[in-house]
Amino acid sequence: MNATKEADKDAPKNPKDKTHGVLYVGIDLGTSRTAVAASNGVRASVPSFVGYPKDHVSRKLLGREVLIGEDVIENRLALRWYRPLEKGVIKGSDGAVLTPEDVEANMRAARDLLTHTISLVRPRPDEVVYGVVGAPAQASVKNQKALLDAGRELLDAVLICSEPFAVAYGLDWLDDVLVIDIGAGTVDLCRMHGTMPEENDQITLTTAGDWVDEQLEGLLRDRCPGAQFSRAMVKTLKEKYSTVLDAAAPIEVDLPVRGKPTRFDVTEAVRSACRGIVPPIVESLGELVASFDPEFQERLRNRVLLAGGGSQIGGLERAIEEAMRERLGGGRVLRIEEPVYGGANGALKIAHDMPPANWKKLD
Amino acid sequence: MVDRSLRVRLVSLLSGAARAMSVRQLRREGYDRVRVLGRDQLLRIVEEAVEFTMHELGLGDPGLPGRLGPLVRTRFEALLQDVKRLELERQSAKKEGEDLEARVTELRRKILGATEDLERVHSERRAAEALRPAADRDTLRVHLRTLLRTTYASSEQIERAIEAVDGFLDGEAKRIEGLLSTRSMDDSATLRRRLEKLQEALSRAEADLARTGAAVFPGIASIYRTLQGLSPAESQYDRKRALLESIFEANVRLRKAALAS
Repeated sequence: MNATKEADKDAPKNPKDKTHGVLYVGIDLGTSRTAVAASNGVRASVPSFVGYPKDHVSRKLLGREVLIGEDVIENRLALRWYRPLEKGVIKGSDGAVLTPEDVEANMRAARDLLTHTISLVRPRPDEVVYGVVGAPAQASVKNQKALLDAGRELLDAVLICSEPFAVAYGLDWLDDVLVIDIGAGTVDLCRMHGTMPEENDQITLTTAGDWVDEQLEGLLRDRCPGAQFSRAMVKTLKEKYSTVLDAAAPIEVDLPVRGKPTRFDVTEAVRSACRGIVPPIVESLGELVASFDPEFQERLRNRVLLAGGGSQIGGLERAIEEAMRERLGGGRVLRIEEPVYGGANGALKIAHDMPPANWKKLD
Repeated sequence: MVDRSLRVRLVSLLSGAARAMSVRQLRREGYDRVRVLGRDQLLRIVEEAVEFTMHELGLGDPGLPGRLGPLVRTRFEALLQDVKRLELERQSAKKEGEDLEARVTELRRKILGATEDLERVHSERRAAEALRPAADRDTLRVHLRTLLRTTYASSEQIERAIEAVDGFLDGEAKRIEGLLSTRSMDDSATLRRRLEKLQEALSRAEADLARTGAAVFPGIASIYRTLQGLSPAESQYDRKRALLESIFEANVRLRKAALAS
């Protein structure tokens, strides 16, 4: 945070004085992890956690007013901490039942997360910074407005675009392609056919990473009697071992039972929880394929892109293909090379390709 | 082709400017896969770029490569030296920043310790305040009087005894309070002075840290000096242009809606 504040302090007051250059930034603001890629070659990702010291003593000890990412996880007992994004948008911006104080706190946390994310790419104070922020496929106008408000305070100009669209644009797959973006909060499915996707081209599911954590937690409670664990431990376990493969190596973990580390075989629990996301995805794929021009349905089935942090589940693309064979008579799924940065890379490409006149209109 | 001595020099410069990173370090920075561009391949690209540029400029003079060679070499060497120098500066700034950060952290810990000590001294003082017997003195007198009346002592003797006890208690209370107050005053003043010094040292270290960061590391420059935009040479140019226009229009609508609300 300090770097950004320092940069802000030294930044020219008049945007017209920013004559050194133009920095393009692509941001994928995720429920679990936020990724950024910039035109100075820097890219980074950070867990989407924001924390503030609980009291004077913790403030003195931590020496900072705001902590982000791993620092929050490490010091969470001394912090009031937030995960400001829920289902891919700023918590409370979608009319969910939260007190006005909670809504304000989440908005502040989202702004602080965005500030930190931008500081990670180390922009020069004398450069104009233009950013594209990826939003979930079906984010409401209110959700998008909340993201826009947060972005406009920090960037010289900002554009919001659909995350799955950014992934496809980044890979130059614009025609007859189905993108599945598996995040922590949502799974976004988006059908691309050479034009901007419309509402009926997109489906958002909530059976995403957080849902898998929930399922796995339930299964572990049933199958590991007496074991003590938190949701954060379940998440770590999932991120390390997630798989849907039958032939996966046994997953054995040590969990405390009355304070004593005890070994449990959690292979079946992990596999079962991870497999849970396949049926809803394939069902939604079916809907998007069935409502497409029949002449191009086969091509669409064979051009399915898997993106997002959740796509790193071992064997997931094969499991989806298998389920597609049964439900849709076949299909081909391709996992993108960099699941974590796919959205940010695409957003960066959109920022770069956007006509200069358009940026100037927004500046 | 660019002459052989340029090639040898380029190889040596590239080796000097390259930075070694372990796979673990790359993973920590979020890179799961990296595209590798071999040194020879890079050299070929440079050579081809020189030849292509000359060809594009219509510089068909067969002796020109020989004359341009030294110029290209000088420029390329300068660029690579810049990269090397910047890398060394970056490493040195990073080290300096880490040392300063460690000092700031240490100072913060000391301040926290001193604050806790001061708080402890204040607590002791509050405890001493609680030891003052004044509030219960009347009750004590009543109990003492009742007790002494059960003896053969006269009223006068009883009152004298009560006065003596009173006097003793006053003396002791003053002595304890004096002792505690002097000690806590001394401790408190010392701790306050220590805290002030630590705060000053912390402010200086934080200012140094900020200066180091701002002076040595003004940020990483973008590769673009001007606005870019979609190149007409891009594949699917028309389609991409239309898509970008749609994104822009949707954002303008969103912005209007935001302003209206």
